[in-house]
This record gives sequence, C-alpha cells and structure tokens, in this order.
Amino acid sequence: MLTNVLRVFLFLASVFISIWILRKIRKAKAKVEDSLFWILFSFMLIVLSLFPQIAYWLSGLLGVQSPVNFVFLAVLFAMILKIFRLSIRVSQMESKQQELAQRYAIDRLSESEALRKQSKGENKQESHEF
Amino acid sequence: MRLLVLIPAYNEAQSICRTVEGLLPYLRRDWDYIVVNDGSRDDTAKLCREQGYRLLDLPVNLGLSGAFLAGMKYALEEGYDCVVQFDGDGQHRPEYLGEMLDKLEREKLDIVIGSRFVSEAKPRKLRMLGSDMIALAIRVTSGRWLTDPTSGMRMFDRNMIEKFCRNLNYGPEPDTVAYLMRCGARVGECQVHMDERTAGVSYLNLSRSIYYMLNMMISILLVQFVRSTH
Repeated sequence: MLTNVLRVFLFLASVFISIWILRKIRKAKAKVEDSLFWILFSFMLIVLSLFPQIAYWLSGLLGVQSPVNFVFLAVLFAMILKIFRLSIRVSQMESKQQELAQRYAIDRLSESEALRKQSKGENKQESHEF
Repeated sequence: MRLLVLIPAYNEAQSICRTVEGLLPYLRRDWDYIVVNDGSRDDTAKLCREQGYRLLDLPVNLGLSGAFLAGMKYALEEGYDCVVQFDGDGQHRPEYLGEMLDKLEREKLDIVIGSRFVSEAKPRKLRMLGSDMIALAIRVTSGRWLTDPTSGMRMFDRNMIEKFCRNLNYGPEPDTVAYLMRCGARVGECQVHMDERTAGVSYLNLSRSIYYMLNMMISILLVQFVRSTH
C-alpha cells in the first residue's frame, strides 16, 4: 500500500529537491547537465505520488509484494546508478588532474633547462670576445 | 574589428590542415585564428606545430565547451573584439565570415549565427526534427524564431566574450543562445552554406542525440526560466 501520508511526503520531497537544484543553477553553482538527473528524478517521484496506480502496476509486473517496496527499490536503483556514474567521473577527474600536474612540472623543468642553456651560451660568447 | 576565428579540434588530424589552409586566404588584415587542441589522441597537435599554426594545446580533454571557453579566455586576454566558432572538420566555409562580421557591425548585433535556412528551405529529415524542436523551445521562451539554432557557426562580440568567460553554464550550445536572447542580446542570422563533414565521425550517435535533445529541451524550457536575467 502507498499510504496518503507517504504520497504527500514523496510529493513534498521532490518539490523540495527541484526548488533546491533550480536555485543552485540560478546562483550559477551547478551545471545544467548535472541538474538533468535531479530534475528527472524528482519528476519521477512527483508522478509516482500523484498516480500511485503506476507503482501498483509495476510492482505486480515485477513480483514485488508491496507497492511501497517498489518505490523504495526504484529510488535505491536510481541512487546506485548515480553513485556509479559519479565514481566514474571522479576517476576521470583524478587522472586528468594527475596529467595536468605532471605536464605542468615537466613543462617548467624543460623551460628552466632551456633558459639555463641559453644563459650558458651567452656566457661562452662573452668569454670568446674577451 | 579584430576577429578571432576559434577552431576547436578533437581528433581532427585528417582535416585540420585543410581547414586552416582553406581559412587563411579569407583572413582580413586584423583577423587571427587559433586552433584549440582538446587533448586529441591523434596527431592533431603535432601537425599544427609542424605547420606552425597558432595553437592552444590543452593537455587533457575538456570537451567542446571547455575547449571553446579556453579560446574565449584567450580572446578576452588578447583584447579581440569578436570571436567566431569555426568547425575543425571542414563543415564551415570561411567565405561567409566577412559577411557575418559585416552584419554584426552594421546592425550592431551581439551574436550572429551562420544559418543554413534563412533564405533556403529546411530539408524534411529526421535530424532536422531535433532542430525544429529546439527552435520551438527557443520561440516559447524568448519569443523569437531561429531558423538554424543548432548551427555551430556563431559569432560573438566583446560583451558576449566577457559573459562567457565570467560565468558558469555558458557553453557553445543553443540553450546559451536562448538564455542570452532572454537577457536582451541582439541576435541575427546570416545565410551560409555548409559542407558535409569530410573526415572523422560525428560526435552524435542515436543515444547521444536523444540525451542531447533531452538536455537541451529541459535546459531551454525549464532551467532558463529560473536563471536570473541580468
């Protein structure tokens, strides 16, 4: 059973999530692409709370005993997907950050070596002149 | 007007030389170009260095938006008046750049879009459906029809360059144009022709296209409304 209290709670929670993420975008704190997931997620929760028949139908289809369990399962599944994608992004960011730091260090070394060679060359020329 | 032709290039080794060589004869006296290599895994950067092209070489892949913004930052620091986004794969034709810049100056516009369908009919193809949907979304939010909102050939003036560099969520995509129009940017369209891409593969396959459309529709229809317009 999806009780009315739970439906109201789901509805309010998803409205709250939407407002929160949209405010973050308004203040230019979040990227639009990243908000896509949360907007779709809260949209899904709103639909489920307004039309619980969907949860009944899907739980029957998937053999879940209680529709409320289906709602929890769906939310859990969405969270696992999101965490998985976030963890991939963190790995990519770490490797990029590593590459950047290494490139920066190598570039600085070759820059300073080039400078040293240049100044040595000038010294030699001077000693020839004198 | 000092114009910078900004060429983002990701794995464009097969076409970057032809693109730059094709562009050079059309550059006016105070125009420049810059290739932004977006951490390509092929020889794009090496080729550009061999040929002596002006190159901004990103050590990691940032995506089109990141590469584009790198060029914008360069333009801001070097004091260019205008930047035009120009494809590295040979789709955009340089002979229209002059016309676009003249239009921008003459009509005092902030953005000029090189559009394929100002005076020519849009072909009724599946991929034009996406373009139509985005155009409709922009019409709803900003009150204006753009004939070719997904065209990647866009020219921006100095004000726009500053906006792109100083804020989050400004990418070289139609939703940014829609948002800028809502903020009062003057946008014009200039009829151009484009070639089919000559080498490499398009970034957009079916699943990416669907994701792109979803992203654009939500961004234009929903998110843009809550973004403050000043």
